[in-house]
Amino acid sequence: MKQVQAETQKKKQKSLFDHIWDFFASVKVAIVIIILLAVTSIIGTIYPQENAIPSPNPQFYYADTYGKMGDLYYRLGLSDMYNSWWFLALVLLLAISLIICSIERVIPLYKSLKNQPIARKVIAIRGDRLYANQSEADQSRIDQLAEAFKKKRYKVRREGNALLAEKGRLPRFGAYIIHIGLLIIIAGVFVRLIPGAYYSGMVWLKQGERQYIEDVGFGLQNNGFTLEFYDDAQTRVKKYETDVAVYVGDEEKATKHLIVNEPLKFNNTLIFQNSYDPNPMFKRGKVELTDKASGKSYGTFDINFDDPKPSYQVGEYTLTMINYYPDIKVDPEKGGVYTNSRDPYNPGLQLSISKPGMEGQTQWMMPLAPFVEEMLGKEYQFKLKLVQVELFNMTGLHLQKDLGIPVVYAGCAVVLWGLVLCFYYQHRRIWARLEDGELHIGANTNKNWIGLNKEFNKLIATVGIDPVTFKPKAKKKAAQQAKQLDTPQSDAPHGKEGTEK
Amino acid sequence: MMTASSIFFGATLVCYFISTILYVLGVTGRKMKIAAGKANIWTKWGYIFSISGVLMHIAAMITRGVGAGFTPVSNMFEYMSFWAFTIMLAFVVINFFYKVPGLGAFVVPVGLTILTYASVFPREVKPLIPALQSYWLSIHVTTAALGEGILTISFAAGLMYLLVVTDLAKQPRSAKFLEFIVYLFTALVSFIAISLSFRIGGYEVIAQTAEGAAQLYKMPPIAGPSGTDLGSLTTLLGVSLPLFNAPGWMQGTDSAIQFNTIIWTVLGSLVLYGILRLIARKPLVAVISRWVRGLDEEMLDELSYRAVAIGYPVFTLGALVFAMIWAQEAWGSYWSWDPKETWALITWLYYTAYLHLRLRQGWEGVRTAWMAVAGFVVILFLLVGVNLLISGLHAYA
Repeated sequence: MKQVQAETQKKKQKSLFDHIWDFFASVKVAIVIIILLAVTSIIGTIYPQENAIPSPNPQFYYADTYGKMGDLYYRLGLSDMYNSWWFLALVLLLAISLIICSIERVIPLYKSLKNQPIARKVIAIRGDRLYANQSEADQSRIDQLAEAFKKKRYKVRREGNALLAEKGRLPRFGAYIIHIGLLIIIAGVFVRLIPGAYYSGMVWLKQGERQYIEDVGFGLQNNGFTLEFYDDAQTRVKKYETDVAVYVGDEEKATKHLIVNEPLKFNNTLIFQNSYDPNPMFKRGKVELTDKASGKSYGTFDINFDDPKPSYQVGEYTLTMINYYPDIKVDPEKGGVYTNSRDPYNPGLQLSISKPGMEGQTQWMMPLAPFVEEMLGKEYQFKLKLVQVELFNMTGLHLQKDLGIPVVYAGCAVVLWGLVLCFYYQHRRIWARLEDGELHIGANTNKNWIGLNKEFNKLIATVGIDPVTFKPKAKKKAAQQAKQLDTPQSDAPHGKEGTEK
Repeated sequence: MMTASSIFFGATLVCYFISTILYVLGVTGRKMKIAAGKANIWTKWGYIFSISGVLMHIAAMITRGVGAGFTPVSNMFEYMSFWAFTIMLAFVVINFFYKVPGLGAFVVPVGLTILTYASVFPREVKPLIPALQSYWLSIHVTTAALGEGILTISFAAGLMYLLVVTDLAKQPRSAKFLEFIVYLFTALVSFIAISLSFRIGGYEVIAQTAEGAAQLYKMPPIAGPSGTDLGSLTTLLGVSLPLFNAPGWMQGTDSAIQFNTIIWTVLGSLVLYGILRLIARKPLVAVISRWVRGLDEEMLDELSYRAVAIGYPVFTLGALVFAMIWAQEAWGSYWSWDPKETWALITWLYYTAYLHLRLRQGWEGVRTAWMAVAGFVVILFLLVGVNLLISGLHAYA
């Protein structure tokens, strides 16, 4: 009486920790979290996420591209929702649920399988879905069966005139192995929060350019980029590849002909051929100075568009650079010109041409904007023609350092192992008991009754029993009755769930 | 090689078509009523044609692969065709073990529909862009499709289970839902039929949006982009189109076109459904539920569950794990929340919920069968919806 009172007292005084524990131990809660994750994930696919939009200004992009809905999407933070605190919180809740649900069930399962009786009551064996018997049997039958079971790689335990053969106990833990694998994956994802464990960034390199990337501690140099198309109209890319070199200080540490799908690994950092700039840039060219009216050539000079000289000499003429716009644009409002970037996509040169005895004449040269040049140059005496040009595309390399990758992969392997155990293997148990000169054999499995039936018939044939067929699944009432007697399934990991509803 | 492939492809379509007819006759024929779920001569031949179709399909894919120089799973035509193949393969194998003759009457039409849908997409072989030049392409796509094919069997068996256990007269709500599922199938069929006929006819109309962007309509624009003058685009059978415009808040790049496609699909499905209703003179579900008479409900429930139990690990391997490994190599990140990736995860979470719910009391049977049926909609969205409605890194086709 006292004990009962103490227990009820104990029940009433559940601590906050117990409440939280019980909450997360429920499969119902786990399912709710899973469904919440699925439903919220859908929201993030309505419009592209910020990492996938072709603009660095999400605050304008969503409103411009998708209108009011897009703007609302951005304002609600849904455009970057997979990094939002509430989504990460959901993932953490799932992790907690995985841990507590597993602990709640795996320990009772382990204990019950460890302490399961070898000798079951005959009446219970008779109730098994797969059952066979033989009258006028003796102890030697049990010995024979034990031998046959061992040959089929069953683990056999004996106790007097009873026997328990068991195979595939580990698959019963398959679900929990999956859970462990998922936890490892989640841990692997969160590794990136450790300072120095994660870096992701793009590097754009011109031909021959070297850039030092501080976060990963090395520099990259582009020793040549090639771009090929399948068709002449250049609509379908065949390949884009970079000869890349890794530098630490001034020392070349590694080189690779980098292609898509085959990254270079250096210093725990992966270097990927990610993309290229579809707009080519001017590298070097040869410019011819001619007389506009007669077309007579005065000679040529070479120019490096990345680093033009202050002046060039063609025969007796001196060409002095007044202004250089690497990426020239016309300002439609003010009417002037400016440069859009420091990269020579669309070079515009303003030169002064002079020779001894002739005053300097201003002249523009714009190879990609001949109309503008024509418009400005009605009065020009000369013409500057680009007769040879070397163009190149910038290569886009993606750098990724993620020390969590091996952890995530290991987690995936564990999940797959657990899935195979859980869904493709089964736990089989066969009990035999000799009582009053009659041999009773009963079998149980958690799945694939047909397979067990076949094996069972082969095994009982060794002691001369005719084949049997398993009984159809017991209806609920019958199952309840069986439970009261003795059931080998009472150790089912989710057995508790029935009472929870 | 490509000609051979086309011939095999045509032969596959014919085989699946004959198989569908035989199966439907086998389960409806008054005199050859399926007694206690036993096969009759119709369903036997239906099965034989399914097997022949699968063999033809393999031949079609091998010849195409040899001709193209890579595994043919790189665009929507090839992918949809492969999915139809995995559905039929899963059916042929599972039917061998479970021997449910009526299953064919539900799965083979789905396989046929998906394969016909594949024909809507351009069939020419396009050389692979660099990101797809990897052996992971075939590994990832084939495994994922196999998982999706097996999960489709779960849908068919779940639907059959529901038809067996639902008393249409006494459970009007369930009957209505089932009728809706049948309607959705007619919608799918009419969408495919309309897209296919306009594609064969080479129909194209270009509309200008208010912003000046050109929109290429491949179906007559009943609804034009918002701001278009009514009746200004084209005429169809003497009617000037568009009749009305897409609402102003639809500002996505192709949303006006998609809106128009949806209108066509709804109209087409209503016509098709109406015709079928007129022929049947009762709810279609009342007709179809006769196909499953005499089948063992528990066996169907078990089959639906087993298909998930077999397909789920394959789907996990192909659509998530292999996908992650390839994404890591090709894009430099194993997970980038690309819509296709995210939807694969959503599908996985959905079936995870299914497997956990199944362990609960009261969820075995009817409720999980509904989940298996709805799961097909999720897979359909993952494979077709994402490509049609959302663009992303998987928009290769």
